Amino acid sequence: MNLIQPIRTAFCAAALISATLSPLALAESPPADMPFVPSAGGRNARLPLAEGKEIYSHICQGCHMADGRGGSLSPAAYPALASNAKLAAKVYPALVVINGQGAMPAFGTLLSDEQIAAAVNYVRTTFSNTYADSIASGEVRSLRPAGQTAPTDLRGR
Amino acid sequence: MNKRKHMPSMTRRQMISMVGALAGSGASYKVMAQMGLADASPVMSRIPGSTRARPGSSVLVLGGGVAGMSAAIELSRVGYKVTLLEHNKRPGGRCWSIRGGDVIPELGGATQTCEFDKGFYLNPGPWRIPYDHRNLLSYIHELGVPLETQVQTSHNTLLHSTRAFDGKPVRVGTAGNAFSSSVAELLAKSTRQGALDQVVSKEDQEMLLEAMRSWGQLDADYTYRGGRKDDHLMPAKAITREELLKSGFWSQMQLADDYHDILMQPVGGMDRVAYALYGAAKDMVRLNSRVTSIRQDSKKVSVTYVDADTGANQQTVTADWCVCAMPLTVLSQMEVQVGAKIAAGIRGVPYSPAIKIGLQMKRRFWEEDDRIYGGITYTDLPIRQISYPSADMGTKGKGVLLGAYVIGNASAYEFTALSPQERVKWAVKFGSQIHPQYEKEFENGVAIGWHRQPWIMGCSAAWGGDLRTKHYENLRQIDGRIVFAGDHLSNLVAWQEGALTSSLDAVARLHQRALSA
Ligand SMILES: Cc1cc2nc3c(=O)[nH]c(=O)nc-3n(C[C@H](O)[C@H](O)[C@H](O)COP(=O)(O)OP(=O)(O)OC[C@H]3O[C@@H](n4cnc5c(N)ncnc54)[C@H](O)[C@@H]3O)c2cc1C
Repeated sequence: MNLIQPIRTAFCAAALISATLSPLALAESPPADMPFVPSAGGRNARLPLAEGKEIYSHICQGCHMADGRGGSLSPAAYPALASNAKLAAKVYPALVVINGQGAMPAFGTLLSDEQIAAAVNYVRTTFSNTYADSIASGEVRSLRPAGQTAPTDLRGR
Repeated sequence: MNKRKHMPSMTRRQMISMVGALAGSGASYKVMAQMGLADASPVMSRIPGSTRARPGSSVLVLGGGVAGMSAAIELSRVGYKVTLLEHNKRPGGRCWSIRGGDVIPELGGATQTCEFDKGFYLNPGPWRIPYDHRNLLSYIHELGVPLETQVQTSHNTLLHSTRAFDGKPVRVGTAGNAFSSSVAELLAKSTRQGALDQVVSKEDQEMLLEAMRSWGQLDADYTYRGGRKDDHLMPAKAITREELLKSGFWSQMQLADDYHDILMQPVGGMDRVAYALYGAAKDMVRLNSRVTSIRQDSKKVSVTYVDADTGANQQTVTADWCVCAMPLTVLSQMEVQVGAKIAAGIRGVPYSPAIKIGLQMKRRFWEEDDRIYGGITYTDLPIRQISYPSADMGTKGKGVLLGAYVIGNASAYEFTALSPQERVKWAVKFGSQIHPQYEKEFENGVAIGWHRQPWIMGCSAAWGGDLRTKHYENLRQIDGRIVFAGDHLSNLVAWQEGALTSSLDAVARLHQRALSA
């Protein structure tokens, strides 16, 4: 008998089980020198990061860059957060983080209210920004649109 | 009471298909449909050659990806005078292959120069083609692009979880066989305890038990104790059900098996498709031409563009019609004269993140040491997968691995946030937890974080929530003299097939409009 023949059906069963039992992957915090959260690559996995600074360096920095100055290389430009007057109203950056805009993905389903508040408060007090007020997680919650869902599952591409 | 009266006896075939149903082929089909694999795309009809364009009418095509190039080919075929403007110095857009010597700048200021040896490449974007992507395949066949198999499912590749089996990888086949055996044992046990008496006749239960015994390699007492002889895919010491469940391999096993049995790749790199289309569209294409504004009035469309290298030498071109096959992200940062609804759609659809990393190794150790020929290893590390080349199997010497492919999740952002060198460094670090040979054999690598590529700013449109309801149909409408196209305007986002179904549909509608105008 061919030993590996039965695998297909078995894996289909795995598919069924995972559809119902798969736990939300919440990984442990990363070692300080590691720019990754272990196991964060799972579908819908959350990043267990609490500090605005960490959330910024793991996610926002991808486009707004480590120095908060954004980037520009034609035809693209990512806005600087450094000395950005649009950050004056705390609600504005929170809404952009939740909903996305242009090339900026929506982070509403990836980040919790607390994380969005932490990230917004971090950028509003860093990179030469010195806004005195801060946003609370409850305010973030009230800005969320009803029924936001994660974007298209791209696995398999 | 005779149960048969209420429940007719099952045939052997029904029994087998019931097992299939228990085993969740329904769920599996759903997964495949989500991946765009099971759901064959419609074959789009090309504009009939008999319906010629009005003499002298012209079209501007913006963006030279597969969508833009197919639009140019189809429209010129029926008599339009077509000009296509493309920002990059190469055709293809996301249909791209990176080879030694290629220089790749990115947002943030870093520039990579690929150091692969001659003959090696990385497909940083599209890399596989399913057999039911018929519009793509019809171009591929018409234009004579040679294809080869891309191995997807191999039982000799690895599953790896930092939280299972002490972080040691297990062969896909070993885990799969252990899983079959566990399921068979459970099903046999339930059958023998009478749990299936309501649904399976006594006679059929015997067949089921026999099937489970041979399928699951069970002992005479229907217990799973491991392989009869020690085989690396069926070790004599059984992996227990508890170990398997705890390993959390489920989701990875699902990925390892839910692809088509066969996928294809163009021999020599995905960009062979781009260059084949370019061959047919060459006279119309202006490379290195960056569009800076798109305007229209009741009579014509006018587009300004500059030399993409220098930003200088601004020119204006006009035409009767326009097919805009540029990414929404780029359009959201320039002047585009369209109605409010389309403008809102252009601004309103964000793009997903993705990264791919190619690693050149001095030696094909996965083949030589590990007997892995093609296929994909899955891990819960941030690199998510390692794909072994399907080309040049068994050749002596070097090879290029896909050392990380992360799409649409948090790890993709984390990789994007690093410099290209750091991305490669971490891909090597993580990969060597699975293949210790990395440390000795790694030579060089190239790492594409899609949000850092200025001509696309992301991997693909992230339709989610109610975005499709809000913007999709609006963006598909012809606005005055302009129609939009690209994979973002299809049901197969992030598939080249989607780019083509969109552009073939868009040019057919535009042609109708032009004839009736
Ligand atoms: C990581 C990844 C994996 C993928 N895997 C697969 C796969 O396995 N199989 C598959 O079939 N598909 C896959 N895809 C999807 C596939 O790449 C796309 O669906 C397809 O290439 C899109 O074609 P397009 O013509 O719509 O867009 P694009 O190829 O993006 O074309 C848009 C063009 O517009 C140009 N442009 C931008 N700005 C300007 C400007 N200002 N002026 C002029 N031109 C401009 C760009 O340079 C580009 O050439 C993958 C994509 C990614 C990113």
